[in-house]
Amino acid sequence: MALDDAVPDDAAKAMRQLRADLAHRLATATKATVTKATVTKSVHQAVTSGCLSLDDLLPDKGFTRGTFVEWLGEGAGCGAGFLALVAAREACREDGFAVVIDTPRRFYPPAAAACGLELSRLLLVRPQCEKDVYWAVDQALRCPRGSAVLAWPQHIPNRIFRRWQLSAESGDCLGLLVRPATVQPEPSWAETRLRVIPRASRNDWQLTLEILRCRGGLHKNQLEIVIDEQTGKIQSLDSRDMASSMAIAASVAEKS
Amino acid sequence: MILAIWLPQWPLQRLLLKSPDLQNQPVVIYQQTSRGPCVAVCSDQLVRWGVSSGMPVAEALALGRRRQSLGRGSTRNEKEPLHLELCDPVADRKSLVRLAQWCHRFSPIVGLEEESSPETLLLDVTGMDLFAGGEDAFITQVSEQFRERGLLARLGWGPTLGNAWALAHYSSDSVETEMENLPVEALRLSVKTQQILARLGLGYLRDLLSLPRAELQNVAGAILLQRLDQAMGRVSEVIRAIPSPHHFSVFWQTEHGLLQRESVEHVMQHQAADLCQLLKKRSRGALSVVCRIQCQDSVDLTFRVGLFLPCADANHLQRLLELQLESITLPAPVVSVSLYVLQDAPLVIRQRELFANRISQNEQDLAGLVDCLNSRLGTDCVLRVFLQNDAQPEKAYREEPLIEGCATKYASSVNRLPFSPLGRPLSLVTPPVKLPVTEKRNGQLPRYFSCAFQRHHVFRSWGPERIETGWWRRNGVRRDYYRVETTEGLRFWIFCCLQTGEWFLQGVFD
Repeated sequence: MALDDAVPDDAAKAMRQLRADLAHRLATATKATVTKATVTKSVHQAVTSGCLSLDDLLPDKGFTRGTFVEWLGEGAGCGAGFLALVAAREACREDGFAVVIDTPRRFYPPAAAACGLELSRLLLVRPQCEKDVYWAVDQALRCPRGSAVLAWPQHIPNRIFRRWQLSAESGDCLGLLVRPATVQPEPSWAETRLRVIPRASRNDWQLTLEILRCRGGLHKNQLEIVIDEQTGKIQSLDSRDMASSMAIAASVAEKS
Repeated sequence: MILAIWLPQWPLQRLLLKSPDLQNQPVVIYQQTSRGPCVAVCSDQLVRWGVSSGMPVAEALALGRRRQSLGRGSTRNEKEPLHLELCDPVADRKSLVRLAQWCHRFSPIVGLEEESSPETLLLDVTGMDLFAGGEDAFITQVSEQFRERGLLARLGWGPTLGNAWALAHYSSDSVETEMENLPVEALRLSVKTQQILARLGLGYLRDLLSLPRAELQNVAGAILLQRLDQAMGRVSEVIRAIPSPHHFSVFWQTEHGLLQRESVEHVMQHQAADLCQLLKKRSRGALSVVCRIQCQDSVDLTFRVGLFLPCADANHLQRLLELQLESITLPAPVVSVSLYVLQDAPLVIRQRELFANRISQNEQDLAGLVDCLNSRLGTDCVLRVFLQNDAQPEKAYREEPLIEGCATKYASSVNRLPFSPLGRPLSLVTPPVKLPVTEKRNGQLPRYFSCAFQRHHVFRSWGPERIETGWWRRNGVRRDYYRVETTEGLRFWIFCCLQTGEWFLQGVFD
């Protein structure tokens, strides 16, 4: 016998209303929780580039996990690898590990350690041939707890790049590719594409970042950055100049 | 019945098995004592020359040199007369334990003699002779198998451990020895007790057996009577058995060979599942699995799969096996597939938690990735890195393959790096590339240098940073390093070799 049949009509009606009300409240609460979780996830998925000014220019305030970032360097010694390494460091700061696919066999771990990357969270992979590089990057991107994959590939077939991108999405991993600027005309599945142009300067290491591609478009597609010689801190030239001007102003005010 | 297998001069036998090229050389295994290094064991050739156990190594060397000069008719020493090796009792024991485990084929109860440096294996072979067709056939079989392994073994068997031990060590090979005719050393007595008996003129067991027991007890205590009874087979002893290693293996065979690779993979899938079932029953995980595929015409294919963490997951194991199989061409139809575990470890089983520990999960995921990469690329291509306290840039770090069973945390010996984040380049050029510098500036930084067909003009520089290694290093370095920035803003790490005055490119700030 159903419960509704055993009670009077008014009581049954009240009970039905109560059930409907509870169901509605439960659905609303669940929806709110899901929305909150989604928002929280999206916030957590952004990885800082190591430069606040660059983060401000990017739509998610950083690089998005599950995507690729390409650094196109203007020649050897331009600092593109350093910037990619800083991003890898930030990606595995809290959890996970970074996989370095060192095809040129030139990766120097003490420099990575000096940059702040924990070597206990570093896996160095040295594939012998191009085919193995494609496979190793794919496997590393698929790993659920891999935070970043750093590689120096020259030519990437379109089909392979697409597969990498899907793997990065499934593994929620940040792919960081350091490539020569000559590959700029080639098609790319990277969500963010940055060109690194070094500038000779008297103070610190000055680089120009040209944002070639970014989701959502940008009001400004070029950024002048400086890397501090002592600390390795990356900041935009404007913000550094402003900070130094304010420091000078403060010291003058103090003297007067 | 107890079978004692004595391996005379076991440390020397172990060394000769490990390094067969030393077979015909005079070898001394020495140990460090308060008197300095002394001979522990030496080869027969040296015994003939007068070298004995306990002799200082310097004396043994002098004897060796003298013999060598007499043999050649010249006093000039061209090489060391003896091969010296430091005694390693732990390795000796470990090796003997492995041999004891191998002896489980003869008996389920195998142990070692209770000595600090054991040389005798003890087997309880009661009833085992029935399987070999008699006592003599069994003993012959055991001695032949030891000979095949290249080991010199002396066998003795009797009703008790003491009896078998005495016969193995002191019986004659040619004639049947009576227990009464054995020396008192066969009783495993202490040196002090042996000296007392020697002073009293009691050299053989028959001398002891002719005396009243009460008098014997007065002479050397109860231990003498106990040992005598054990040797005469009156009192038995317990063998401390060495556990046999677990053997996990599965085998599949067919009369008609498999031609399709998919069929072989299907068989492997079942094999992996069966193997993992065996492992799980004993709560063990595989660390190293060997797969042997036998094809028609007696062609064998063997490959090994290494695992980062102990694993009993059939799907994971199958995936790794398939990765290896992908790189192999099957030359003929497959008639048998066998898998066996070469190395195993206790399986770590954790209860699932509501708020799971991410670190342990990380380790599992990392293990999965490492296993896959190792299987396809090889163990020397998947590495972890340690920093080292070494000034020379090439030696400031050490790479180690991530091999099976090495999932433990490791710590670097360097706590603080002596350079800033931009102090070292991300790409190191090894060996350094010589820079063609045209202008002569007497060791000063050049204004121009060429690299990769490109001419660079030095805009500014940092340095020199003198890096010099110790005199004790054979290929020591003495270099002045400079970080240079070119007019294009590119950065390089170059150095001047102070021995030759040449300039080299060591790194690129990529």
